[in-house]
Amino acid sequence: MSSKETSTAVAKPRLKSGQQRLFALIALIAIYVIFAAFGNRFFTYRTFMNILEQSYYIGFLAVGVTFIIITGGIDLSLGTVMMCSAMVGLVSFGAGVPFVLALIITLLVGVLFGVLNGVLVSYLKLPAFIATMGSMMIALGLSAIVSKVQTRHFPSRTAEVGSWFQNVFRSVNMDGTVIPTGAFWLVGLIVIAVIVLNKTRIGRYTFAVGSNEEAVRLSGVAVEKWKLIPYIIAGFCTGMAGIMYGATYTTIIPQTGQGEELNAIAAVVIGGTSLSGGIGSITGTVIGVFIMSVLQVGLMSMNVQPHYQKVLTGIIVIMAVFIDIRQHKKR
Amino acid sequence: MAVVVDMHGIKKSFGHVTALDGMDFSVRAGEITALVGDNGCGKTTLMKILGGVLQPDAGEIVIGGKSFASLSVHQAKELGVTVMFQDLALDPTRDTAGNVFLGREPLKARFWLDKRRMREDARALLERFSIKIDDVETPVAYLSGGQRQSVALARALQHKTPIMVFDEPTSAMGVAETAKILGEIRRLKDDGIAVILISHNLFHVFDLADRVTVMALGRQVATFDTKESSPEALHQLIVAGGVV
Repeated sequence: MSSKETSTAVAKPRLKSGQQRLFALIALIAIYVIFAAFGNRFFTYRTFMNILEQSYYIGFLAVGVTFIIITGGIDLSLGTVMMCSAMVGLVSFGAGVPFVLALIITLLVGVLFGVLNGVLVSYLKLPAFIATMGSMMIALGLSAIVSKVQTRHFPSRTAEVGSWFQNVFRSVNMDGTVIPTGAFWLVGLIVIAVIVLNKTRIGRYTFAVGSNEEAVRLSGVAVEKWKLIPYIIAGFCTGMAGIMYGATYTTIIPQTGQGEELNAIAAVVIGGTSLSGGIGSITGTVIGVFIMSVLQVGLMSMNVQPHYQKVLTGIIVIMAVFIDIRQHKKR
Repeated sequence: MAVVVDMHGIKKSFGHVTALDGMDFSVRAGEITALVGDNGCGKTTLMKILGGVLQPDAGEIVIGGKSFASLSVHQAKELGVTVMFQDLALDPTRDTAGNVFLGREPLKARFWLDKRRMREDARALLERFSIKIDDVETPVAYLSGGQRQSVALARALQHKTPIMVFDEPTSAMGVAETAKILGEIRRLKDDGIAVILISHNLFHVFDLADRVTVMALGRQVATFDTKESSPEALHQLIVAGGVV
């Protein structure tokens, strides 16, 4: 090879990781406009609040699992761990633990499941699919055991203890105007996640492990440690999702949550994060979350049954994965 | 000169295939030692063991007077071993600057990636080695084979460590880049660094190396000073698998 040859293939375009994100954003705007035009009272502040509330807990789950998917992993336990965390927190609250401490326990349970998943995948080398499926079952059983298969409730706005809970984590009514406080938490998480993913070594190695784990290992980086961290981050986000779910829906039913992880993973994929690892973004995930929420609320505004929303989401996910695979082949 | 790496009786098998069968190999500070042999003789496997990527089944590795049965990548790095692998070990989705600093990213306030410094230092490094990559923010996936090899070399050469291994460092490079890189490797020797060079180009071997170790079937078959031999004689030795 001549020196001329080695110096010509330069300045080609950046990887097209942002392309799918752009498609997703255009799709989100288009869906919103369609529902605004044809839906029944869709283009209202109340409906917008409804969309936001639908996005809280899925947003937290999706942001967390984005880190894992970028490493090339997966977490099937998110939904059940979210419910299990909330249930353990509520049971401890019922047993006399102060409510704030119960919320911290909720977070800790999420983090512990994250550590468990991370250790199984990174240090014990179990396939993520199998390891997190095991955790999913553990979480399902645990929520039933601790609750004695009884439904529990987070405090309502009129409760004696914890009446502030929904004001802080869902919304607060100020002189007739509903302020979506839950959205502030979600925005806060998004900002932190974007910074961690793009400005720190955690993010750098999250991407690198997903892109070429062997290269990272050969560079002297402790791959196991950096593969563990995304699972812990996702565990924390799952605990937070449990709190956000509790603030939005109040009731926690034991042995539920299955399927919520698939909604979160779907949002991540729709947002352009590659299931092959190495490529992804938090902003894309957020767009994916809102596409799903807008679809859910929009179809309801058109009196379409929820089953159709699932069919539509499935089609969108297939399209997103198809685009991802096509781009992967081009790379 | 002091022996800084001494590998004794190194054995390594992959299933029924024996890659190394009691290999002995030593390297001295301030010397370039070439490791040569036919394809599949175990050169790269030996260097992967030195770099901590593979663990030997038997044998001893002595580095700087300390004895080890095996090394991890991290341990090898701590002991000052830098390996530029033949398969380059690059992250295709990351840009050139990111790959040059992979595993050694400069930080601001011990937490934040110093991306500007990475870009500036990568540009300076590429310029120093006359490597022509117009934009250090171009993902490695879009670079040519020679450019990728240059990025891997720039990464290996950015920090001089006491023991540096180059596995086929210029196989995909043009003439000008090759000359520049060979010059850089020669300079490492002047800095007292122990250099191990794996190459099929015997003229490069004789141009650079002080000593040559010839391998065949996972064993050392000869070690001699380059002054005492010629490329032709070495070629014959490699072809005959040490039986001349």
